[in-house]
Amino acid sequence: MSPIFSPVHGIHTAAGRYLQRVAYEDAPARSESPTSATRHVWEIAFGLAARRRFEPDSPLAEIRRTVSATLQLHSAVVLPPLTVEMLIRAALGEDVPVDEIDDSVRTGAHLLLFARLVDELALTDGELEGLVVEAEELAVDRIAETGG
Amino acid sequence: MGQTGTIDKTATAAGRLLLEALGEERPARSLARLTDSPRAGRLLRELFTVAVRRSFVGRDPRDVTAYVRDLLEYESLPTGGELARETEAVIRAALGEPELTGTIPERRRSEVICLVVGDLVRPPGVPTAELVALVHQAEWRVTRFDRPSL
Repeated sequence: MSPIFSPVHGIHTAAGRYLQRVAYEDAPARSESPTSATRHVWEIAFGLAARRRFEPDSPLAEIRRTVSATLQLHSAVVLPPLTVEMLIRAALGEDVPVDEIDDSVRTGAHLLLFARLVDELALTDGELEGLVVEAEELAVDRIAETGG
Repeated sequence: MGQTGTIDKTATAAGRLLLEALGEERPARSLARLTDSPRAGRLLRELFTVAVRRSFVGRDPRDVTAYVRDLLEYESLPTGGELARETEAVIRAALGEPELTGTIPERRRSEVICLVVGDLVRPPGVPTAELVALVHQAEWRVTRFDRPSL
């Protein structure tokens, strides 16, 4: 294959790079609201991490421990704990109430939980990068499927 | 509900008011009117605690999610959003997770309590004798927790 047609390896979106920095606790504060495409990548990455960390029938106490630890670590950010728990349970495929959540709350929870889950999973740099790349690829696929 | 004749057996006026409200056509709405009274409101909160603990302690917490969906569907209220989360939070707070209600306004907590306590008489409903026993237990909790510490 000609080098010019070689696929690009590694994270290749700003959304993905930001996610990586969030996991390293090195992300700058965001001055602008993220685009819907960016939020999409983050949501998918959060879902991938949640499903690696938990089984669909994981005890709620275990999920609650992750939620509590995340919120304790980021006490300056006000996120309703049950909303955060519901986002994890929804990612695991449960039919739970996740309507009427502000985009800022949803996005904040996705990012903070992503960082926490990556930490709990003790992912290596390469595994983290692979997770983010997978999220980027899935986001592109879904955007292509929906025409969005 | 057919509570005539059993209401007099409750020890307090607040208890009788609660049982009367539960016997009305729209119990949650009737209970909400009682919350202006500090005594009735206090007793209502204890009755909520007693009812929720007897229903859910020892069960999978996911049963609370399913119960809330069923309750809100029965009341023709939205089941997929904030009201459902807040209802679950108020119930689980009574089961030992008080941190879940931190951001919920007092008014909404009170509405949820009225909804859940009112649901005790949803057909077929809790037998009247059991309902009276629950109110007695709530009255006892009010007495116990209001007692000055030694």
